[in-house]
Amino acid sequence: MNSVDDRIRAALHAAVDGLQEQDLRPADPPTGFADRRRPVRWIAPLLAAAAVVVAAAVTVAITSSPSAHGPGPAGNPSSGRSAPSSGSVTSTPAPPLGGDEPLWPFATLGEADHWKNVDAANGHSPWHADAKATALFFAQNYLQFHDITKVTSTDIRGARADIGVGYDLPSGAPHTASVIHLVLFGDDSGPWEVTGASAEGFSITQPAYGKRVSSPMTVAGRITGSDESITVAVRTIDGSVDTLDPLPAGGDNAPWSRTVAFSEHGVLTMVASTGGHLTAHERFAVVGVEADG
Amino acid sequence: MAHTRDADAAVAALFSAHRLHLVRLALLLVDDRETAEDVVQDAFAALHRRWGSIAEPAAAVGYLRTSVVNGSRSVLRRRRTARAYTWPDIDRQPGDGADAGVLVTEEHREVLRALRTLPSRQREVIVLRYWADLPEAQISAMLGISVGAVKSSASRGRDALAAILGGAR
Repeated sequence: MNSVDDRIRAALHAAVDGLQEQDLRPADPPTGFADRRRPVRWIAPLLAAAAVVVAAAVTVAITSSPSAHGPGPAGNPSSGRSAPSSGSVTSTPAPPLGGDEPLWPFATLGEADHWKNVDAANGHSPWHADAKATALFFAQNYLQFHDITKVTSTDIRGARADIGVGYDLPSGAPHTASVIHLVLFGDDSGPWEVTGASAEGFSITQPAYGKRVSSPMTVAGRITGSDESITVAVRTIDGSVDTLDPLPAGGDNAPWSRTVAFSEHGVLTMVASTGGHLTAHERFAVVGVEADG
Repeated sequence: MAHTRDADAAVAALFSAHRLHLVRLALLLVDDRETAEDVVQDAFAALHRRWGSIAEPAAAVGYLRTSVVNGSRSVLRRRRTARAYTWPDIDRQPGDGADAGVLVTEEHREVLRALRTLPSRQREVIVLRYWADLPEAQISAMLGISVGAVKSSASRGRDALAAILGGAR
């Protein structure tokens, strides 16, 4: 008898074989009309109409900027979002992002497909095909962190990318404020979609990524550093934002916690940032959650 | 539309037949039930969307299993980058419930804790080999790696577990 093999096999079966159907949360199989991630999109047509106006103006700015490495285009928080030129937001079921939340710049696979099939063919917003540009624009234009000025690292592996963004220290050395996580939306020819971000020594541990939440919500995490100043914001892809005043914090892997109230629903972007020594956003972390309507 | 109706019916049947098994698989890879259920739900959503490109219904189960493994790996990747992530309590595994049909002993927990220390690929191979009882060729196809890589991952994972478990004795 091979004891190690038997022990592994027995432990694995013992761990999960007791789980039964009745232990699982009730769930329905997906259908052509289901969109689990975005249960309510009643406001979408109104927002899309507005977005068309914004996108038309912003597309000019974006397409005239360097495709990857230069600073992102100036604009409002939602300026990088590509809205379908038809003015409608599709209700395509949630895409296969491997459990990731689609945070920015596309809300749905339909929007991403529209860029791929229509806008890209017309030469619009080519930065969607560039993971580095998407990461930088996410920080600068969506989060409005204007002190994030450059890409500091690049790790692209097939359909996934981890892009470091930050700025130069006074010494001239680059500083990574966060590593932006991206996924190709839909398939290998799709645009890059931001799904989250993480920072060294600064994290959001609650709510867990992808969890369903409701207001008010406790946002908590860990931080290593001294004289830190943590700001928490809740954002929607459409630009709505609820922000808490800065919280002093510090220590060695010290816990921090805030309670935030919000009125938005659907996929939300939780952003925690800290700074105040050299810049306002020296480190930041991002998780995606889903808020009940 | 006919395609949508076909996909709805086929995916519903697969959901009924395989959801529990896939949640168990995901649970072994991500360690908490809610996340495991989310990963599986995403896998079915992906299958539904790509139903038209699935060559044959029999391939759908393999597609689902691969989606669950990939989705679970994504979860683990995020946890690794979240410095202070707190792993779920191994003592609260679902098989440990009062109504569970299988008793999770301290020895089992020891193995499960050791399993968590493995790199993602080794952990996946160990789970697919020892729990799902899949042949190496099938694991190779699922993970998109060579049979040789499956063998080496299984061997290294098993050796690592043996070393940890041996040291714990």
